Amino acid sequence: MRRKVHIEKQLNLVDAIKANNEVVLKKLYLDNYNKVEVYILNNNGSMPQAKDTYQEAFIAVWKNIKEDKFIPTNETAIQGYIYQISKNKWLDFLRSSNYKKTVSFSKTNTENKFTEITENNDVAEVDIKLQNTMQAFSKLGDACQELLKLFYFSKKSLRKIAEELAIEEASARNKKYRCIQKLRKLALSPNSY
Amino acid sequence: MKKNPDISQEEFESIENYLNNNLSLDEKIAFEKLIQKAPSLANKIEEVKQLLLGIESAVLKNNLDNFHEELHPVRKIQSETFDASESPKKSKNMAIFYSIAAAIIIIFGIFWFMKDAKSPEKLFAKYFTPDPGLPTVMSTTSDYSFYEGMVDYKRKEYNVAIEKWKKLIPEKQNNDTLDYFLGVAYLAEGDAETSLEYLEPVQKFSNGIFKEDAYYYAALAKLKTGELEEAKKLLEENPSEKNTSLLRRLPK
Repeated sequence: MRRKVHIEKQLNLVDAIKANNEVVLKKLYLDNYNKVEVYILNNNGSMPQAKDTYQEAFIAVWKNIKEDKFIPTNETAIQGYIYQISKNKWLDFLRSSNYKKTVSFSKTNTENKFTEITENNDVAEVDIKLQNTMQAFSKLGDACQELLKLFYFSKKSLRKIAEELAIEEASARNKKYRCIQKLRKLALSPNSY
Repeated sequence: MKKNPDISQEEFESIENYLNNNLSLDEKIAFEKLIQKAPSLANKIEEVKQLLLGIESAVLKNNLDNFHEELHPVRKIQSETFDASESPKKSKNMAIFYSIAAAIIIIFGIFWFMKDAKSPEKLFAKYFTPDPGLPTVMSTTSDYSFYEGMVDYKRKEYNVAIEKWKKLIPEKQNNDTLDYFLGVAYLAEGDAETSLEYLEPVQKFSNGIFKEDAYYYAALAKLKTGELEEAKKLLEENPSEKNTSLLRRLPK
């Protein structure tokens, strides 16, 4: 029974992650960072590299949970998954052409306990598109960023958003579409702006 | 870059509703029939999906940077403190180690504090750190047994220190140093009652160097035994920087 309760707890956690619950995401982020940082620092990494790698891994985990590609089977599964992905991402970096120094891989245990998002070409292409969209988003004006954030990240209804921004609901809806068009344009031509 | 066809507002909103599962079953079936008829629609759906994912990811990334800030202030202070000492390489590693340790402590501290900030037990755990003890330079002291105990005390072997010091009680009646450290040692062992036997009455420390600190530890012992009001009274009676700061942090 106890086990069942734990799994339910984890499933609630999954729901909270899918809903972008800030408290849950923050706790997950803060709770799991130190372990990853220690690993990366012990394996020839710097603190900024630890931060970048961890954040990439965190977003990848979030995405996989969102798309039901990763379904946790026990209480600490998400924690373990974040650590494993961070580790794999760091190992990928160490093996990459960006990192040419010869390093002794004493602690590099590469067992893949989880269904891994290995960087095959399809995934890489999707990743680039995602990066472009993320960059494009940061180039949008504040008003568009706020509106899109409220609707797509905070999952608020158009009615609520319209109230918050003190505009008509129909106008919020039209603005949302115009912002999306801008974003799409920016994302499709990442270097021209 | 391949050319992407326009997506009208109506079309975009249908795609969005489809992706977010906001369509009724009938609408969904109808929409899926449309996809089969017009393969270009499938591409548009994929593009919108990526766009929406990108928005969420970008906002998440901003949030992560904000979360990360909460780990950082500690680091900076720690690095500065440690950069001043030892060789640069070692001090850097030490700084990293200490900053990680500090971050962990702070995170735990926050959760600990949030869990039950008001319980006197918890307050005690939060504010109690044993007195660092007296310097133990053997050659300059005749009081060998007492300082032998002090060595154990500093090693945090409070029980051993207590055993050694208790033997000295008969020959050192009313010795404020002995009473004070026995009190703190018992408190460090978690035995607040016995600790108070040595720390009370607090007035006996009034003329010595342990005056303020004795009040401080007596107040902490009272906290541990759940006597919050008593603890506050002691701190009020003997204001010092440390005592007043503790008093201010206790629940009103």
